[in-house]
Amino acid sequence: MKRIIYILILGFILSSCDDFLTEEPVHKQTLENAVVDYDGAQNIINGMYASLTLGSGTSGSDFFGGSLACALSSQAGVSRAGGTTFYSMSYNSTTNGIATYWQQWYACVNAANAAIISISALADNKFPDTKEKSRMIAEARCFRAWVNAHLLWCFGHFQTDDEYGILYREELSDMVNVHRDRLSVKDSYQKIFDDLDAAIKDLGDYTTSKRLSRQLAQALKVKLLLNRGWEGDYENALLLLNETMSSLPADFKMDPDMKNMYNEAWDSKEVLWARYLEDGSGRAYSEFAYTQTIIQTGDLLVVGQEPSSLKSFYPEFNSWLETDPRYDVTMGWARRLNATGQQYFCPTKVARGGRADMNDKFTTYYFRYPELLLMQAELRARTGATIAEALSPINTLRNNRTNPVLPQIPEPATRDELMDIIFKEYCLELFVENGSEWFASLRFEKDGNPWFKTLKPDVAEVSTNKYCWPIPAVETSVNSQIKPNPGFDN
Amino acid sequence: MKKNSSIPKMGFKLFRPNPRMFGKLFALFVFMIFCTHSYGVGQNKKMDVHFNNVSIDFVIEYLESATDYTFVYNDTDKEGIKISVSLKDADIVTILDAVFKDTPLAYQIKEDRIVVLRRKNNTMKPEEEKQLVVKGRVISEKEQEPIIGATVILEGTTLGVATDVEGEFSINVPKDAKTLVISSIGYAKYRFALNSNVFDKLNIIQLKDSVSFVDEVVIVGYGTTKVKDATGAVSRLGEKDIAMSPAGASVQSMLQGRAPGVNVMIQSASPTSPVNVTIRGISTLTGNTQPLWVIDGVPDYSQSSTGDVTNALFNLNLSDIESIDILKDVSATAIYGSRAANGVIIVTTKRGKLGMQPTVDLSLRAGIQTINSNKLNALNATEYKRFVETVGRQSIEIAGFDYNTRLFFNESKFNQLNTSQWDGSMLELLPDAFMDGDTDWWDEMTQNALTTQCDISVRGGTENSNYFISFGYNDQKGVVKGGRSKLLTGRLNFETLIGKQIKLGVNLSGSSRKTNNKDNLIDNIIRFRPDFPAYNEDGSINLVTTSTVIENPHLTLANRNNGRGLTFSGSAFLEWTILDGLKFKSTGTVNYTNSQTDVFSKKGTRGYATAYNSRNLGNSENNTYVWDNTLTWMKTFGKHNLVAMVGHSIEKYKSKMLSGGAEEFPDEEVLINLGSGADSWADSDEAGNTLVSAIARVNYKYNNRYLATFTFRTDGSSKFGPDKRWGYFPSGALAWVISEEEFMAPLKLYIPYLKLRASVGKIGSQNLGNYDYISLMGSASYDGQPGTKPTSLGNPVLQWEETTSVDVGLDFGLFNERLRGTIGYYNKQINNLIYDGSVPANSSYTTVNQNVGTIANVGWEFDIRGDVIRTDKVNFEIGFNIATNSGKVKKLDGIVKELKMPYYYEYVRLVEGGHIGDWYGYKYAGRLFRTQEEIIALKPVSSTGVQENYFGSYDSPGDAYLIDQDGDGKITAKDKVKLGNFNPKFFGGFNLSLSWKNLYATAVFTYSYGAKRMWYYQYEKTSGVGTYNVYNSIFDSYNFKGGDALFPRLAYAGTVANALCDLYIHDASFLRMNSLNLNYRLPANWFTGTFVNNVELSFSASNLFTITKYPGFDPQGNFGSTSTSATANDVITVAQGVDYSTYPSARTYSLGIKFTFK
Repeated sequence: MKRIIYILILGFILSSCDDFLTEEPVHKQTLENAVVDYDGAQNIINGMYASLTLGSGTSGSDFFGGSLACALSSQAGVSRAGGTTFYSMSYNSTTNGIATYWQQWYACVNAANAAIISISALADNKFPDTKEKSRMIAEARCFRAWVNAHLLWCFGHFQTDDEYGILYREELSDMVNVHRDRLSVKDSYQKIFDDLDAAIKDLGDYTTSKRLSRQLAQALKVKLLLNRGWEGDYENALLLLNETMSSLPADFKMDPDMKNMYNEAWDSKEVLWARYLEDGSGRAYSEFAYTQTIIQTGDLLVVGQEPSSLKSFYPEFNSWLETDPRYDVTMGWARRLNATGQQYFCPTKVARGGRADMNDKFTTYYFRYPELLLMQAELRARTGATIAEALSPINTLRNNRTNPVLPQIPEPATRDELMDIIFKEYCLELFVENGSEWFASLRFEKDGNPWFKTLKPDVAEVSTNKYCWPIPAVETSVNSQIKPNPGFDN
Repeated sequence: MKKNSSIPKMGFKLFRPNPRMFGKLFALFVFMIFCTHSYGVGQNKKMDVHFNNVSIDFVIEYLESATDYTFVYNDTDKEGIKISVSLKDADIVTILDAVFKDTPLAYQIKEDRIVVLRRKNNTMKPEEEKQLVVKGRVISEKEQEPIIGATVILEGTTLGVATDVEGEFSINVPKDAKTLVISSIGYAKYRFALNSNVFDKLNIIQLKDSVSFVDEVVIVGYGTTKVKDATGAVSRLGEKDIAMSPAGASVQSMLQGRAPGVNVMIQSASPTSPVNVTIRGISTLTGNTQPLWVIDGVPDYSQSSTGDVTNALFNLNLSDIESIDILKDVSATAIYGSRAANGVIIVTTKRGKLGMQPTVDLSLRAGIQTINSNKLNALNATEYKRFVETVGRQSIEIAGFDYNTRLFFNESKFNQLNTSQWDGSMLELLPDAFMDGDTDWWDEMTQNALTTQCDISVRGGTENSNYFISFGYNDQKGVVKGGRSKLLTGRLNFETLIGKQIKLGVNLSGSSRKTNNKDNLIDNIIRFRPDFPAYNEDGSINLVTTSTVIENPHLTLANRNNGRGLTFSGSAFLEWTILDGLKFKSTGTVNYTNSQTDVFSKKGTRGYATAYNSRNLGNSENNTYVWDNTLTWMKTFGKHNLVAMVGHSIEKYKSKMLSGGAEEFPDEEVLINLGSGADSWADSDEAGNTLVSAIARVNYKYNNRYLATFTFRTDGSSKFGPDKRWGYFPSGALAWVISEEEFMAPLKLYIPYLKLRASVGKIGSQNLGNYDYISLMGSASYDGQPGTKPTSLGNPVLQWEETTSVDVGLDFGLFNERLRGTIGYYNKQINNLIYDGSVPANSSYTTVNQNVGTIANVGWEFDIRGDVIRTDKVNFEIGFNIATNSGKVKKLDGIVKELKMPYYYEYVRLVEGGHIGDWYGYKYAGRLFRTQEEIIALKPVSSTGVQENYFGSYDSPGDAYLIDQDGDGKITAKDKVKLGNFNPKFFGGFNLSLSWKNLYATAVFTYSYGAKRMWYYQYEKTSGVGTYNVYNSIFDSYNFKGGDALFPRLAYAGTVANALCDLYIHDASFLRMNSLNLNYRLPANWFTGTFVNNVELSFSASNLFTITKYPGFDPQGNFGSTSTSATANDVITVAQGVDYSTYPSARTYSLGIKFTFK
């Protein structure tokens, strides 16, 4: 009898063991088993890039594409496609879109963290060589830095040394580790620079816009310093920029034909880093602002009537563009999605043919070569170079194009005029591509005020607190530890 | 008394002397001058006897007091007989042999009775000539087997005999004798009236099973108990209740109205209709609300209320079921721990009996279903034209031309009118407004449907084994054409004893179900215009290529929507009686279910471009492995009675899914293999979970009146993170059988049974996915290369939904148990409700499954059964039950203060302190607007002096007058209020059963009071009628009837916005006659001498009438299932209250014949 009881008890203990209760998902990986070899490491890097369109979901959407570029462009007073909320900067914690940016950008951070954690944990001998491991980690860190930079620029006080920095994450998120506060602005920059420095050290040279490169890491760091503008930042930025430009890979260069560059889109060698949409039957669905919003904001085709670009842009910028040679290659007719397939006059440089070809290369240009020259001009101007020295990169940019022909800009009389020239060039070259015109409109001043006030004369005085967006309610209402941005409703 | 010579010799064991017995007999010894000495107890004792010329009466009296035997005798037989016997250390047989040796009497021992009778060869005394002989054969009514050792006593005397191994007896009775009383343990006493017809023949006397309901066995999970020993709330359906189920019933549907607190909603009469079973209210906000079904010890994980092939409950053959026990309170359910929060239903299948002769039951049933749509019907072409003309003219008058009205009326002619002085009657119909088709689609597509059912089973047993084998076939067609469900089942239950200690058994069952689901046909009938020709001139189906939102019903009929479900379950057990009272049982089970779906949408299918066809195939496989081990110890010492059980159970569940599809096939009949499609896709998935449990239960009983049950279960589940893996589920219950108390003795006749019980405990439910605690990585390709990225947010602290339940009940049996019932109260508080609650968005998600809220269900239950007439010939029983339940939200996640559902429409609002099922919308003033002046008078004026709308810009006479709650002069979202609740205030059922001679009849009624359901059709049509066909009740609208109509103003355009108001919410109280059964057993003597043992004819009808004011198809049907609701949450919180008019009800009439062969 005793023996039976012993056998039973033993049986209980044996079968109750936790091994039996550990059920691994069959067709889903966990962080522990996702990367077990070099293939796995490559996969998780690929997945990280895919998160730019997929976010935390499984089907593509537009949170790091045209929608962001249009919103910031409207904020600058350039394009109307971002809508009046961004134009008037009257966003609040529940404004549509802002919550999506916040949530999905963190999905991108999460994907980068998954890659960094799992590749770091993979034994060195699983890689073809040890450099490859650090290169892959650097790639993921560069990606994380790039997303964090946007979080800081859009949701943080990126120009002020205060407590409103980013909410920093470096672990895979789960229900337990998501309640936390943000870093100070200074610490936020430190985290981003740490990632970028690793990327500058270990990443390879540019080969394609679909993947991150050392040059992008360098350019991003320059742009961060430029936007921050703290003491010594311009000097350091220029130093780094010069170093970068002196050793650019031969592949990476401007296309003389601007139209051709936009046609080639993410395959163009002028594009350093872009959002690539996975090949499929409906890329247009992963992009909404460029394939729909920006088109229907434009001017509906009426036979026998001259199209107007004023529907697409606010008047001040429109007056610049209409007289700029780039107008002819950046504007055109595109079709929005509706039953009758109506045509609209709109910025076809990003809208392309619109919904006429659902699988067209709808590209978000995160960084093109010309921006290097624009930054060079600006940094020279801000670090005491002569007007001629500062202007020369702008003219280099213009010189590099043969279609359209961009006339050289004569040396202006004053530094203020020089700054206006550089600012306008930012806007005309990069409008609705990645939000650069917004950040430029903050850095450059007109009549003692940031330029955006001139571009948006009808908008009432806006507090500097509103230069960034509110932390959305989907975060602040749940995360009791986070400090919301001052000046908002939460 | 032909068997009086075969006196059984019993083997007596020697036991130790019993001092108590000795002391008791001492007084007798002194007084009567004889001495006795006895040892042992009961019937196994040896004793000394000294009878010295005492009367036989004294001897009998003495032996009755000294042993446990009672004597049965005829007073006249023993008159004047004196006995002198002296024996030492003799057993009862020796003593009796000596006592009767020199008398004219003989004796027989029948269990605990000693029957004394006159020797046959004895010369008859003269007075005996006046006596008559009654001969009979006593058999059990149920099994028709002889009852051995039943006593047959002449009422009012001690004269009696016992039946022999054939169940036969013969007794001499005086001429004036009136009644024989026949009794046997386990059977109801039978009073046999003596009249001239009963003499000189063999009377067949059938004994019914004991009616003492307190001795009925109930199954409580890993064991059984008797009603009187149960401490929990358990409702039981026995074989008879199940046998009376209407043709085509599924195991869930037949619970309807049978047990208090069990709310069964059947969606429709479709052969694939979902059935929703809720026990004591909803215990979750997100997951499955269905109880845990345990079939012969194996949990069923189909886990849904759907009626398609994925629900394995539909694969059960009702004829195989012996009993269904519904465990409701925590004392009964806690033994199932983490899965028991919605209640547990235990299904037990039939078994043979040891020593039972092979018995074959063959049952054939055929039924016909007729549609019962509560008079709703689609319009024919003439009616449709009338409808369009009337509503169209009125619509244009108010809102001008719109897309729909332009299809019917001539706009350019209207434009030429050039006057403001016009009305709708001046509008001209377009020449091509209507087509020349005239199809009454309702008649065309509905039918009287045939149901056939055939079951055959064999059961029996030998000395050591018993078996049950069955085969069943069930074919049910739908009242809407094309719908069908065919079920084949087979089962083998076998048990055998090996030696005296080991019992082995296997239960094998398999089934196959094929379904053709045409539930969407009604929706297509009601959309497709009756004036559209059904066919083109060339004979092909008219696809109406201009529209993708309608579908020719003939195409729906032709489209394939098939399912096939296969189940196999095999379990084997070993039961080892280690010692007397100590049993070990080990059961292993493999359960397999497979379901396949095959959907082919031909060109013209609604929702797709006309030139598009597609096929989808799905195959899913589930395996459940269970291994249970229990050790049970039973011990009685003195007045203490203890049953203790410890056990251990492990379970593994695996599911596999494979699906594929293709589109653009060159042909729609033959080349429809997936490879023939121009484009194809496929997917597959696998998942699983495991459960490890330890269980313990102690039942303690003291002096038959104080009962206590303690159970404990701990479950470890793979669905939770390592830190939250184990859940602990204790429960305790106490019961007091008041009727056993001394002070109740005087009332014994009136209150033979009264028990007060109370229980408290904790149970859980696992409403979550298999891997919710882990953050998972899924595929995400980039630049043509494979990739992986995080795809879910894990919640490692997620844990069970915990239900703490308190239950108090009073069980009673009054007036000789002729009135029996239960009154009960419960309070279930469900904590840690799993809900898709808010999470900081930096997690890259905004919601994730987490434990957020608390709801509480409180309710009363009452049921009573009474034998109104209980005589030999007639039995008439009435049963009645009623229950209430109120579900209240006690807490939400704290961030979200209210949940509005469904997502967009907000029919229902859940707030802390609110009730589950509260409608949320505008309050209807109780009448429609009568005049335009009235509306203008209501319109507010803004601060700038502009007259604003009261509600909408088209407010017109005939629209619902909504009440402005906040007094701002207009109807805005702020005017929404609570509009009643879709759960009934009380519900239940009652049933009547009557047996009279060979006739047995039952009727089951269900009712529900106070539920307010939304008739979606009315709501939807009010915001625009579209060009679809409509139900005929649409003529009961303002447009046709004026102010007192069911529907307010209908129009093509210019309607009020989608606004839920209580005009569309209807009282769904009802009383329904669910089933009527008549059963007639042909007289047994017709088949004497044949192998036919019994023939029964039956007639049954279901859903004979419903008394309700509800305007839709069915006051309790047509609730939403997943296909019509946005999320799983909505199904629980909204869909039950919404009537989507998906499929009508039906009446079923069936005839059956059942043969029993032996």
